[in-house]
Order: sequence, then structure tokens, then C-alpha cells
Amino acid sequence: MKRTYRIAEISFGRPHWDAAYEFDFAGDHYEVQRFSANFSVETVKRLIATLRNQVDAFALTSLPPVIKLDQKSYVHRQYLEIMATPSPVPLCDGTGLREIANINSLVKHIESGSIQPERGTFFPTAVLSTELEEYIRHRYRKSVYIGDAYSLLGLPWMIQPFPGLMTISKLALNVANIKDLKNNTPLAQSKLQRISRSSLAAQVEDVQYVFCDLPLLLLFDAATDFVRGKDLVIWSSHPAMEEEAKKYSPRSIINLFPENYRVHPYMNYSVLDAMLRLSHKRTAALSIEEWEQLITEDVEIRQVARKYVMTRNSSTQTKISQGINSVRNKVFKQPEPDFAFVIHALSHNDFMHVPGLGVLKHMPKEWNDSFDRMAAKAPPFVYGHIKHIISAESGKEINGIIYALPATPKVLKASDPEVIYRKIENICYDAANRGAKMIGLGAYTKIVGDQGVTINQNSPIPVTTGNSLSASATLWALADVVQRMHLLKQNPETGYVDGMAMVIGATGSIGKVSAKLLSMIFKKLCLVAPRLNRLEELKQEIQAMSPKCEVIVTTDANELAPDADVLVTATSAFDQKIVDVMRLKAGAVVCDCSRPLDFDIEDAKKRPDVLIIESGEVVLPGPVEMNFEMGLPGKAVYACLAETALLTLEGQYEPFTMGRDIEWNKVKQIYRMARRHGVQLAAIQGHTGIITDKEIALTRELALSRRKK
Amino acid sequence: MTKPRILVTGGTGFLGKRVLPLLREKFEVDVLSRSGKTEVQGDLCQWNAGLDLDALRAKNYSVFLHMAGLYDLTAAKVDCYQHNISAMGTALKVAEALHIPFFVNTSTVAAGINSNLGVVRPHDLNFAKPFPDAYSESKAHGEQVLHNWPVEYTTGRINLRLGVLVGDTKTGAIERIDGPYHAAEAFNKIRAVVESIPTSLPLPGNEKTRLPLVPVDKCAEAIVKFCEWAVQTKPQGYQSFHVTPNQGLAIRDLYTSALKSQAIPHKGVVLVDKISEALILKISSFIARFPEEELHYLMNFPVYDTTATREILGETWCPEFFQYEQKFWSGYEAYVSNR
Repeated sequence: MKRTYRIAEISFGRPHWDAAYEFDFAGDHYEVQRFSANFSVETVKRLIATLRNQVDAFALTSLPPVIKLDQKSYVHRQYLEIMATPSPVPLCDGTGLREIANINSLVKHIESGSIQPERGTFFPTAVLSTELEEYIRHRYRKSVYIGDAYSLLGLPWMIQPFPGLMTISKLALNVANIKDLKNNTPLAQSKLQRISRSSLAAQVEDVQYVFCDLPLLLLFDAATDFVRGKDLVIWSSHPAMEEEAKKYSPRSIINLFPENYRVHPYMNYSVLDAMLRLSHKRTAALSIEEWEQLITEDVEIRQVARKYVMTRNSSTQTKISQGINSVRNKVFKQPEPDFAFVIHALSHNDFMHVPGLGVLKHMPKEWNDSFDRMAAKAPPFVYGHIKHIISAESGKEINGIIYALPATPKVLKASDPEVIYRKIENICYDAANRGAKMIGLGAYTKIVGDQGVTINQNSPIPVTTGNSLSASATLWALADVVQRMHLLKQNPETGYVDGMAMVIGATGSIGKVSAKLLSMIFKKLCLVAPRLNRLEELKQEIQAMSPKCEVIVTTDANELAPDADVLVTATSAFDQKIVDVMRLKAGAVVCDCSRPLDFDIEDAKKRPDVLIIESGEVVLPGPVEMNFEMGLPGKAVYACLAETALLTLEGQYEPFTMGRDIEWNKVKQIYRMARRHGVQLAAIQGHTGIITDKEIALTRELALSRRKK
Repeated sequence: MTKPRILVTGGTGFLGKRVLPLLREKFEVDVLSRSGKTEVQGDLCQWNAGLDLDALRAKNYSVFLHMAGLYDLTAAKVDCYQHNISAMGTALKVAEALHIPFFVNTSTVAAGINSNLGVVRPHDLNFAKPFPDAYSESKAHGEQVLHNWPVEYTTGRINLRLGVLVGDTKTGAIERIDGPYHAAEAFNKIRAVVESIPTSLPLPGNEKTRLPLVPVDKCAEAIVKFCEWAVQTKPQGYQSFHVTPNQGLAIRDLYTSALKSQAIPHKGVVLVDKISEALILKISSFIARFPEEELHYLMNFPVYDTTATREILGETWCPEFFQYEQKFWSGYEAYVSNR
């Protein structure tokens, strides 16, 4: 059935050439109306907003350019603002298509002799047609004349390509991309320009071809002078504009727009782009291959054209889509956060991920510590947002804001806790002002000083360390892996597992909870910590809780490590090995909850028969969107962040976990809360990334074979 | 003989209300509006104005009278562009789709405000010099759209650049304060200052400027006459006219008339145009709260050529200010006392 499609062509340029027209293509009917915005981004947005529910596509013409020079792309700010306008129908601008078709036509014209570039080619504004300019420059270097200095800066110099031109252009483009395109930019009839018009015309006296598309040409008041008697090369069709251009008395007008797609006298690349998308029933642009197939049969030309189709390069496209997202984020304000969370740089390497600080990797390693100390002086900042956390139970949606302290654990440990308190308290006030009702402390920020108590006292909103869920998620992950390893047997009568569990750093907050939990499952439990008196206290406590469990205490982990089937480490040790990986039992499962990690990647490589997992991370419910990097794969988040989110979802605004001790019942409570709201265990992580079922099976086989020996 | 049909936009405005009764005497009138109260419902901001073009084509309209637009010197660019440029395109598209042979557009003298010419002809537009505001710019571009729109059926396009509309010659009634009325407003604000100045009163303006004031009823008559003229003489192509008085009002006369009507004693008026205009605008706006954009017009109106208009409407179609001065001020008084 014949369909009628509506295309609204929105020109960023002058409205003088607006028109409405209709045509048929590939059995469908197309209705086009051209609107113009006269260089006003707001007007383009208004037009899109008014018409987006009534048309099938927007064809955007005369947009500020996307330019690619020497592997770097320059995307004009206004282009991004326009392309970021929300629209349910595609916004087509014809980039990519234009380059292929123009090069294709140009090659054919040169082959047939109708364009002879050696007779001189003049580009009044070369940056707007870089593909043509480059193609000719690469082959006829001597015959290219560029008028950008006049048209953009108002200087009466004709440029011929010279070695430093690229550098200058790049510098200029960086500035130009920030400047607004106004309705007088290309013709900026300054006094100097008016005086120098004749000089410009004199300089291009002997040039035979002028490459300038119609809408741009008609903006030049000086066009009469430099077009007279020349061959004008254009690449859009518009009879009225052509009539106007003829008043400048060119010798001839050569149109590069492909003949077979000039289905209507008013066609241009943007409308063609829209038409092709609609006829292919697509919303995304056609691929370069598809365009090539449609436009040229000649394989050689395709390959030549490929080189000049810069604006469709994936890097440029990425840049554009990133730019669009950042503009969107500015335009559509961030939702008010419901909770906040504080993180910090986990190591010196994290600084290198900050845009612009990549150069740090060239810095001598000895400077790292001083750099870290210096960086810690910088104030905390908003690192990102986490959006659309939706409870599986109640359907309530919440958003979070993430703050970052630019301080590494080493620096945090060395600095005065009072200074860190003040910094975090300031974050709390900022978060409260933004509407957050709850704040969580991540990584080392919760270990500083009295573990959140002071911060909570001075904060306007409740503070939690998130340790309850950290502990329960860790054991949750551990249980998951131990089950998948199938090495331990549960005694059906007592319900106890026949094996030994070891907790290193047992007197710490996570260690204590882990020890308590493991004592309920394991027959034998070994507690390791530096101070014996505290260990004894804990031992008594545990024995009161689960009298059937045999509890051993020691200050040296290496002593009993070879007997442990399951190890939980929760220390805060720097630069020292708590336990030698070589002494571990084959088939042991290690859950490394320490930050920094107790076991590094070298350790993991030495013992392929031991499974080392990092503490349990979780995945929040809902189509969660995070615009920051937390060092975890996929949508996984730290359990302490999840605790803050869960308390917010639950509406339980209170300092849930606080201080050194984790309350046993709170661990259970938060675990139940997590299951109820649909929090899931993230894929279990080892040192080299996610641990798959295959890896677990492999570790198991290795362990079994080693045990036999 | 049956009356020709006409499709009208902007029939609900200050001018439209005066035009419609006169128009209904000569034409079968269909008014296009969003109000829900007129013959044809549509919105020029929508695709195809939201109309069922195939159904409307059967009505065989002879003229499309386009009076809709945004008249506000302080409006935002985006609103001016949408209602004066984009809507113009849609109106033309509709006229073309309905096969209406004549399109009559009401523009404004503001479209020629930035001209450098001594005498501005109705076709003259100057895009090389900036416009004082988005309104005049959008109206000028709108004229250009009308001029360049590719047509097959709507072959006769008539552009009427209306002068500054003032109260009618019968009662002088107005709906808001704009243009020349601001002079009286300003004098009232600084009455005490004016009275205490011992010398002649220095006021912004220059001797040559003539204000193209047109009473709204006369303007409405002119528009209707142009519509009739289009149907009778079938003009082809783009025609533009200045709907302005032959002479216009000297700015000094406006000031003295305003002072007189407000009964403010003074010792003569001196026009000041030697100091920078920007400064004059700022001072006037600061002292007397005379809107800067309005004063800019009062000081810069070029001379509008009306030769072509007089050929169609006759030499005396538009009375000069002194012929309706009394009504002009009584309309102002009525408005002021009721607000």
C-alpha cells in the first residue's frame, strides 16, 4: 500500500528559501515542508517540539558543521544542542551520505573532464566541505585556494595549503566550535571585509572553479565578485536559489547531487537521508556500505570515497553521541537525588582515569605519593549519578548522587581524621541541600576515625557505613561459590559443614560478623587477629552463640592456613602479606574483603587451584543507569552503596550501621530487605574479572588432582 | 452574483475585528482560528495548519487573507520566528494546496525600519544591517518567504506593510498603549519636571522623521479594498504596498499635541538627535519610562513611499493626524480612565 510520509526540513540558515513540495519514491509518497530557524537553536528546538508528533522524520540542513581534520573531529556546540533535542522520529542531517555522493560525483566529473581542478579551485569556506577540499588538495595541491580567512575571520587573504595550515586550522576550530553561529557569521561584513572585497576577487581572478553550496553562497554579499565568469560547483538542488545564484553570473553551475536521486528539484542530502531511512523503515542512518551500494557501482570510487567519509567514522560518531548526552544532561536537569554516597580514589591509578590527567602515567613513579598527597587537598566533588533504581516490591523509584574524595587510602589513613570529617560533613550538607535524605560512606571514608559516628552527629541527614549489607553480601557470595565448588560436605544430622573456616581480621567489624555467621555453619572456626586479648573476647562470645563449634584463635594466619577450607580476610593492612598464598589448601575458597586486597593478581596466578573472590557486589533492581566509573563490571555496585539505596527505598532514614561493630540482627534485617526489593548478587569477581562456572569447575578439578598427590 | 469566498487568519485581533464586518459585506468569509468559535478550525503552527486540505479545496476560495502573526516588540526571537516566519510558510502551503489564486499578507512598516535609503519602496528589505528587535526581523524574513515561495496556483501575492495602527477615527478606542501613546504616558510621568523647566523642553527625535500613523478603521477599509482589487484586477506575482499616510506626523507635532492634550504647560520643544541614540534611549527609559524599543522606532522611521498605494486607494484614503487628533486623544483618555 502506498504510504504518505511527512518530512519537516528544518534549515538552520535563512528562511528566504522556504518551500513545500511533494514527490514519490519507491512506491511511497513524500510530503516535505521546509522551515528555517535563521541561526537560532531555540527556534530549531521549538520547531522540532511542535512538529515531532506530526511528521515521520526531520531533515536538518545548513547545520553548524561536524569537521574532521587529521584524525580529530570537531563538533560544533550548536550542532550538539540541536541533535540533542528529544524526538521520537529521526533527526537526519545527511552527513556521511554527502561525502560519499560528493566524492563520487566529483571523481566522475574529473574523469569526464567537466571539472579540471588543475585550472584552480576556490573554496570560500573550506571547512564546510572538507571532503572535496581534501580530495582535490591530495591530488592537485597547487591549485587549491581557501577563503576561510576571509569568510570566517574577515581577513582579505587567500590561503593556499602550506605545511602549518593544519595546525592553525585545528587551533582555530577549537575556538570556532564554542562560538555561536550567528546569521552574520559567514558574511561578517566588517568594514575591513567591505574594503577588501575587490582584493579577494582579484586574488581568485585566475581560478576557474568555485566550490560553495547554495545556501552558504547566498549569504556572501561579496559572492558577485568571486563567482562572475567562474564555474560554480554546488551540491544541493533548489531552483529558486539557483536562479538567485545565476544573478552572480557564473559561467556554469555544476551540481554534484546525484542525478538518480534528484527525484524532486528541491532535493538535498538531508531530505535524501530522511527519505532513505523512511523507505528502508529505519530510524537510524543507513550504514556507509548501504549508501555506497545505493550511490555508486564503481568499487574503486567507493574505496577512494571511504577515505573522505570522515564524519561517519566511529570515533566521530562516538564523540557526537557523547556530546549529545552531555548536552542532554545539562538540558534535562539531573533528578533530585534521594540518597548520596561518598567514594574515593582507591589507588593512584584511579587518577589517571580522570579526563586530562592521563599524562600522569608519564610521571616518575617516585612522585606518586607526593602527587596523591597534593591531590587530597582538592575539595570533594560530585562524581556522578545513579538513576532509576526501582524496587521490585513497591515499584518506588529512587536516584542517587555520588561524591568523590580525591584521596587514596594511604593518604586518608595518614591524614588527620578531623580534616576528613569536615570534608565529609560538607558533602553531607551539600547532599541535604540537593534533596538527599540519606548518605552512605564508601570504602575508607567509613574507616576514618570513629567509623562514621562523628560524621553522623554533625550531618543534617542520617549517615550509614553500609557495612551490614557488605557483610551479608560477602557471606552470600561465599556461600554461593562454596556450593558451586562441591568440595565440602554437610553433615545431615548436625547441619554443620565438615571443614574449617578461617577469618583473618576477625576482630574487625566485618570479620566479627563473618565469624559469627561461619560459626553457625562450620564445625571448626579459626580466628586470626593481631591482638590476642580481643580474640579471646570474641571467642567467648561466639562459643556462647554456637556452642557446638570448635573455635581456635591465633595471631599468625600462616600457621593454620593449610587446614582452612574457607578463608575470609577483612583486614586493613598496607604493604604486608597477612598470609602466604602458597600455604593455602588446594581447593580452598578465599573471600578477600580487605581494601586494599590482601591477595593480588600474582597470588591468584600462583595458585590456580584456589578460588579467590573479592567481596560480594550486588546489582540494584530496576533499569539502573550510572554515569560514572566505579571500577566494577556491568551494573554491579558496592554492597555498602546498595545498603544506602535499600534504606532509602524502605524509607528507613536512620544511621543503620555505625561504628566499629556490626549488629548481627541488622545484617539479617538488611539481607531480608535486599531480597525483598529485588537486589541480586552480582557475578562473582576474582582478580581477573568475573568468575564463570567454567573457571569454578576447572579450579575444582585442579584442586582434586592436587589433593590426590 | 455570488460573493467570492475568502479564508482569513488573524480575524480575532485588534485589526481583524475591524476588518471582518467590512469584509463580510463583499465576501463569503471563513475565519481560520484556534478559538473553536470560527468557521474553520486550525493552527498555523501545526503541520498543514491541522486542516483537512482535501475537504477544504472544494470551497473554492478566491483569496487567502493572512493577518495572523505575533505583534510584540519585546517578544522572544523563537516566538516571533514561529508565528511570523514558520506560520507564513504554512499559510502559503495551505493557500497553494487549496488552489487559492490570491494571497494577501499584512506585514508592517517595521520590516523596513533598518533601511539606509532616503525613501523606502515597498519591496525594499535590508538584511545586511541588524534589526532593532526580533519582531521586525521576523516580519522582514516573513516578507521574503512570501516573495520567494514557489507557487503554482497562488500566483498573486500581495504584501501590505501597515503603518502604526492607532485608534479609529470615530471613537479613537484602543486596546493597549503602544507607539505614539507612550508619549502621553511619559509626559504624565514627568509632568512636574516638564512644568518646572524654564526653557524649551529637550526631547528625543529629529525634524525629518515622520510617523506613519494609520487609524485602524481606515486600515481595515484599505485591506478590504486590496482584497477586492485582487479579485477584480487579478494581479500576478509579488506586489507590495505601504499602507501609510501620504505625509505622516512630524515627531515635534506629536509632542506638542500630547502636551496639549494632557494640559501640560511648556515653553516650546527642542528636538535632540545629536547625542548617541543609545544614550537617549537609556535616559528616556530611565526618566520617563518610555520603552526603548518603541522610542527607537519613533526616532528612526524612514520615509515610506506610497505611490503604488495611492493608485489603488486614491489620494485621500488615509486622513492625516490633525484630522482625527481629537478622537485620538479621547480614545486614549477612555483607555486610561478604564484601566
